[in-house]
Amino acid sequence: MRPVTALTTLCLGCAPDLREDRATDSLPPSADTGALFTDGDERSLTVNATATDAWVYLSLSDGALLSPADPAQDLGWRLALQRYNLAVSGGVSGPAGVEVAPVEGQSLDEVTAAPADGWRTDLADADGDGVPEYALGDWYVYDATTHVLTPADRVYALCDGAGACFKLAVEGYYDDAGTPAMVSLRWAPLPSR
Amino acid sequence: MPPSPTPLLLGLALAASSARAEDPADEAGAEVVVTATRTATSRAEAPVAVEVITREDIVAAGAENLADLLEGQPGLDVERSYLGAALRLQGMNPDQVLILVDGERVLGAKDGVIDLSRFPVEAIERVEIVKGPGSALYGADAMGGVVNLITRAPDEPLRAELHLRGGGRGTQDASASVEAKGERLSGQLLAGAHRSDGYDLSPEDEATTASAFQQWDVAGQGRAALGPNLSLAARGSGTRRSLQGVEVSGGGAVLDRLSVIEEAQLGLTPRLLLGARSMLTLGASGSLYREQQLVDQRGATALDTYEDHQERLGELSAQLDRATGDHHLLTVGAEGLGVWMDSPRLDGGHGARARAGLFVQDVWGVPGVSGLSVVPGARLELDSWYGVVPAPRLALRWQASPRLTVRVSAGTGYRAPSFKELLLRFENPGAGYVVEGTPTLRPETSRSLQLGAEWAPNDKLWLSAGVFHNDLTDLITITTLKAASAGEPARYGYANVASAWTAGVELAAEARPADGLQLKASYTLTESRDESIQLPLEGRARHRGTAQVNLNLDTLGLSAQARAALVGARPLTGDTDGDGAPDRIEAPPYAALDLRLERSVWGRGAVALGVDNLLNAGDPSLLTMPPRLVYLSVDLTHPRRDGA
Repeated sequence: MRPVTALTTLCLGCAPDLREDRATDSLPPSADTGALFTDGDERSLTVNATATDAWVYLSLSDGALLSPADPAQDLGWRLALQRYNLAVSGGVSGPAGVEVAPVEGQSLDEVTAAPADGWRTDLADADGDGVPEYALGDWYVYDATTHVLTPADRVYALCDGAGACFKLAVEGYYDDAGTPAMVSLRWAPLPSR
Repeated sequence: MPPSPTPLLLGLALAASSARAEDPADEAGAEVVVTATRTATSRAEAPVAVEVITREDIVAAGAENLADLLEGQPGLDVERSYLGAALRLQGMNPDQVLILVDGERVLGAKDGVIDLSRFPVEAIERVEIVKGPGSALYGADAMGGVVNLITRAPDEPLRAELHLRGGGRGTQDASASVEAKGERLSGQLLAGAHRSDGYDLSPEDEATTASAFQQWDVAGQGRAALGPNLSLAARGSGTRRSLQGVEVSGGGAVLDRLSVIEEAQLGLTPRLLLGARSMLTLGASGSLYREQQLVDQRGATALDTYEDHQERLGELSAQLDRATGDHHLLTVGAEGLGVWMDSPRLDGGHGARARAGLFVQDVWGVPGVSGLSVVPGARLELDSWYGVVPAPRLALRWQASPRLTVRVSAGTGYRAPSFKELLLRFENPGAGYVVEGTPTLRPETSRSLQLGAEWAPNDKLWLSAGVFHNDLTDLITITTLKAASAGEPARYGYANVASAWTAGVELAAEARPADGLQLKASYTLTESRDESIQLPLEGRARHRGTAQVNLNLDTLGLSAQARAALVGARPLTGDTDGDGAPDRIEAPPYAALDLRLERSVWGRGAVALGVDNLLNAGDPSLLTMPPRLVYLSVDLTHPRRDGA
């Protein structure tokens, strides 16, 4: 058996590494976060949340991406993204006391005031899978056949512990190249509740 | 030929008579098969029915690869998908059908599918198909049947062949062989090159339906009679196949997919006659399979991936055939194999399995009952993952009259969980869902009953009828370990939870109403049910029929063949209402028709013009078969064939 195995081993591996055979695009990864668009009070931004091992932190007041040294103590961010997970700086996720309330069946423009009830925040893992129960966890609809994530027809009101409120819509999960976890957001300030 | 007390001993007699144990016909012209009993035996006297596609059939069909050849054959169901062309037998899944090359296992299954397109037919002498469980002889994975590709062996003192074919969609095929056969030594070398542009049944999007490919093959074998009682056969082959296709992800990403598949096999088979009534066959073989896959996202690099999968197989076997008394041909054997896989998709990147099997079979010509043989057999297999599995089979063959043969067999079969099912660790980069292997899986098992009869009322007509029933339990299926919930993707795993059955009727007829005219027809009724959802199994057509006409006008040097397949509606699953949940749909019936006209030239070969899928059957989602293909081929042989 040994000579047989040795001979067959010699026969394989003749093909070069495919990566040497063909250079893939030299384009930069679509991983770059898109430009921040401002239209009056309204802002829109496509956030690169493709990293599987890092969160992207966002300030809603100016649309800036932040790199907090200690997110658990940092009061600058309000929203954090990692792939399909959206965390708010409240509850178990952050210190800013952010709470979230869904507004069903209205577009971002139609929402003019924070709702009276339905407020919630990020909670500790309740079902034992090691993942917190995110307040924005229902932002998408998942197609089990195509495995495509589509934003739910829903706007969220977010208010932090200092009383500043925003309305937020997730408008897409894929960029023009089809890259997932390129999360398109649109938001604007709301009157305090 | 040694004394042959009963016709049952033909197999041993044939094998013992020379090193030509795998020859397709014995000196009396009887068609010889090896898959029914693991020993060369006459096809007519095999205890279980063996369907044979001969070299002549292969050439007449104009097929270039095994998928094209088996499509349209009676009772065979070739289904094409992104995994390749897969074979179903008796309604059973492709991973429940064991595919062998000269009795040896084949690597490179994807989701259990061995892509039949990988096998060029230039190296195949014949295809032997045994339907129903074959685990009593072959062990794991032979639940639905065994398909054994018997490679070509030298049968002329000196011969060279050249085959060229060109056709639409950039189809180009070329193969050549040289063979020599002497008293003590014989050998053959084969080489082939094949390419095609692939095809696209939905040109409105960027995705291709079937990848373009280029393939190169080399194969060689040699046989030596080392003494009056010892022969040695050695064979080796190598293949390189490159594929280029485009797919579009659910999120709209356009992905160029490139693959390079390399395969190599080597095998050695010494055969030793131990007196006039015993023969010992040893086997040692090794196979390697490597597939590199590069995915290149257009306009971005976030979804670019590179994966390198490698599989290795080593196998040792010993088999003793012994004629005892006047009525028994006893076969006992042992096999051991090791399989290793390296893949980034496996948990830990590596999988290994060892397996040992012992098998025994007795072909017993029942004294006092003319034409009756009873063939009990069993195999006991020990696998390093799930332990011991027994697989018994009892077959009965009754030659009721010289023109009527009845066969009955009952047995069990099983399928080993694959490395993927045992060890997968896959996380979808976009949606985040996770699929995990389950190391504690047991084999899938089946119990089967097969009943068939063949009747040749005269020399011009042959009829056969058969019924089958397969009970499948412990079927491995994807289960939801945790449903998707807010902010959390679904987790899937595998479990032995499903059960099903398949049953059916197979009818076939062949007629030669006039010189040079041959007609063949078949009909298969297949019923099936997934017991967990009380619905028919997916993709199985209830009705399937084939028809074939062969016309040979020797005086004009012309021959023509028409092959048709009529396939009824097939139940499938898809999301028809856009709610994200799968719905049952029914793929419509279809008809496929192949035509081929051939003219011999100068007695040294032939020129052929053919059309595959003349009716252009196909659908981008429900029937991804190749569209119409027109081709021209030339075959040359040196020296001239006898009788040419």
